[in-house]
Amino acid sequence: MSEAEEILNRIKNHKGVIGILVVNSEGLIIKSTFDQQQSDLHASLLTQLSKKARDVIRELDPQNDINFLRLRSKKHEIMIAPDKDYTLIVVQDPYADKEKS
Amino acid sequence: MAGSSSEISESLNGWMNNNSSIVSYVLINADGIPLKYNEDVTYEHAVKQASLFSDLLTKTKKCVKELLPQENEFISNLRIRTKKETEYILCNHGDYSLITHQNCKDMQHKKKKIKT
Repeated sequence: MSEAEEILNRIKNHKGVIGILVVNSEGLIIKSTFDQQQSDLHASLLTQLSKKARDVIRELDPQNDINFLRLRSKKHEIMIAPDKDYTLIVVQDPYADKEKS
Repeated sequence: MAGSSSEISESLNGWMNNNSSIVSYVLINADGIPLKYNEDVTYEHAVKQASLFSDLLTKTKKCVKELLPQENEFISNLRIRTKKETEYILCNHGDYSLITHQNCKDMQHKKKKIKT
């Protein structure tokens, strides 16, 4: 568990990271840097999205599976790493490097 | 219309040839109908991809609208990395969407070569 804390802290301290969210397979929020309402919204919507993406990939090739999702909009970027038991969601500002330099 | 249609085909094919890691592409409209697709792909496969990914893109739009309501203009893309070292890139702009299927193994191989 402390190892997980260390990894999450490393991600949190990365430049441009807005928030981190860890959700288990049942949709419950394990750990989050957002407030409660924002966490619930992100968790439900993004787990649905990753589930649907997995279904799509399985439909195209039954032996394939998703490793990672990256959802990019104009100002934000959401990265989703779904796994068997847990899903890691990171929200970041993709232009953080450019802005600061 | 015929002229612009062939221009689109030429642009897409040229772009695909410039990026050797691209396996195939499909251009679909808002209704999920494939307009342009790679010649190596059969029509049935293009239709299948178009229908599946148009549903996924609709869900993506919904997610972005709810999570990031302050962004009015919807220009976004979704990348799906799979276990077979391939990647689907779904780009949405206005009424059209471009689905690209690329092989990430080649990219990594090239990166290693460049570093050497």
